[in-house]
Amino acid sequence: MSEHHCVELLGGYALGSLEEADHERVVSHVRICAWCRTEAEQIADCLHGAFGYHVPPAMPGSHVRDRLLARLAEEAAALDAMAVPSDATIAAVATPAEVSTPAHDQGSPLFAAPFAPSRPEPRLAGAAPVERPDTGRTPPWPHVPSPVPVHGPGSRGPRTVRARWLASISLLAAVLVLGLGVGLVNMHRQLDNQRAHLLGDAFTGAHAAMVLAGPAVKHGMSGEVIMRPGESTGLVIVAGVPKSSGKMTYTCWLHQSGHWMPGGSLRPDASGIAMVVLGKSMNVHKADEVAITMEPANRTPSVPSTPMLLSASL
Amino acid sequence: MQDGEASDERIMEGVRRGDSQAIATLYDRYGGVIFSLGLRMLGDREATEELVQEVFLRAWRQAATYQPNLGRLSTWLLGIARNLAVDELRRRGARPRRADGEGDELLARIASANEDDPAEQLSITTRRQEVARALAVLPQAQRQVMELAYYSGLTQSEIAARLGDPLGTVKTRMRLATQKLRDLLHEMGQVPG
Repeated sequence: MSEHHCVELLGGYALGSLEEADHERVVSHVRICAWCRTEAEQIADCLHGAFGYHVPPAMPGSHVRDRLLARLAEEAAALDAMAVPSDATIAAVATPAEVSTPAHDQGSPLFAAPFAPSRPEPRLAGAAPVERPDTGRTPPWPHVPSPVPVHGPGSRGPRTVRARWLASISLLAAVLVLGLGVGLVNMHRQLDNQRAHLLGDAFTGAHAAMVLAGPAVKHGMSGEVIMRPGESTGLVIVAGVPKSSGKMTYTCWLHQSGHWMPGGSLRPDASGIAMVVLGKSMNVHKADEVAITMEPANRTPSVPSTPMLLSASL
Repeated sequence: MQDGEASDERIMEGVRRGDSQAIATLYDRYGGVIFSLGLRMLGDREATEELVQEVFLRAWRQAATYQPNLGRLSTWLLGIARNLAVDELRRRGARPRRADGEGDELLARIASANEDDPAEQLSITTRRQEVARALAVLPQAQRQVMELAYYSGLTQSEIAARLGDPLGTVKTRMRLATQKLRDLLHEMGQVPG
């Protein structure tokens, strides 16, 4: 088994204690070997379950809980603001310190506002959702029309005219919704094609794709980090990226050897797709995490200064 | 452990939805365990309190990445905590110190003062005892290597230099200890085989 797998190294890998050459070997291997990947996960689970519990018991003070919940409330509020992106709200997301802080020191109830109120389903940018607000009125989209009263021959009273008018409106609405649906499908297809085209150009052959996850997913953002095993380059592609103001920019970060380094700016196009190529100098294969935050456009700080919108472990 | 309480999986469903009560429950269940590990590694309460907050913030942000089939929620959180603590240790360029006798006593007092959920505490205490039994079976030399790697974040060559042993010996001890520990915990029903 060990001739083909790297079982003997997985303990050290799970502990992060391997030397560089061994680490590289395992990283390359687990990307393509599901068996060893699962083994590594199980060994990590075992080690954390053992050494994580083999410590003197201690408890934090109650203020830690209060602070944590207050910080979460701040992040949730910032994300809520991002739901309808504008210059003001994007700035608020990117500068959480400026977001009003819950008065947790004044005994106010935590999360007085909903922690994360329900939001629209994730969607790709540019694909305008078909909103159906419950206004209590007849909706302007196709529906099963109410039976139209039948009038006698030659009867063209106001109710008949109104019924025909309603039918016409309904038909028009149906055509519009159908058109939107077709447009949506086409847009998804174009996105897939664009992605495949990019992959074909930049990443021929075997590659690994790590899905970006994080609070921004709830706001329709989605993306992947794409790499080829053992290579030092990578591609980060994100869809559903709201337009940002000129003051803030989406910034990609790589975490390597305990340090963050900026990986470039993500500038969304008209359809909300943004990408950044992580060049050879970035040594992506040595990174353990990729993250996306919003940073001031005129000055990229040395470490992420705002909450992570998306991230992926590599 | 969780009679009448939400399962870990259900809590994580709530966390993914952004339910404030779910994250509070998650903290109540695992805050002490995370804090204990952080204090063991970092050695001071202030830094550990920051670390605990960061662990749960990351758990909230990255809830979608947690996969129950790959490991338990407790070990997922412990993994985040341990990685953050190792980063902090490397950033400091310092190595952790063990709490001295006085510190242990203080920690025990703090722990007992916060035991407001007897069922949770019993579960954690039982788990600690089983883990201690398993670790006691490991030869001292193997256990030492594992502890230096886990709590201090040392690489194999750093461990070899620290102990004055050949690198190959350290690698062998780590491999044997990992396998032995896994077998022991599997026999105890603590981990899948």
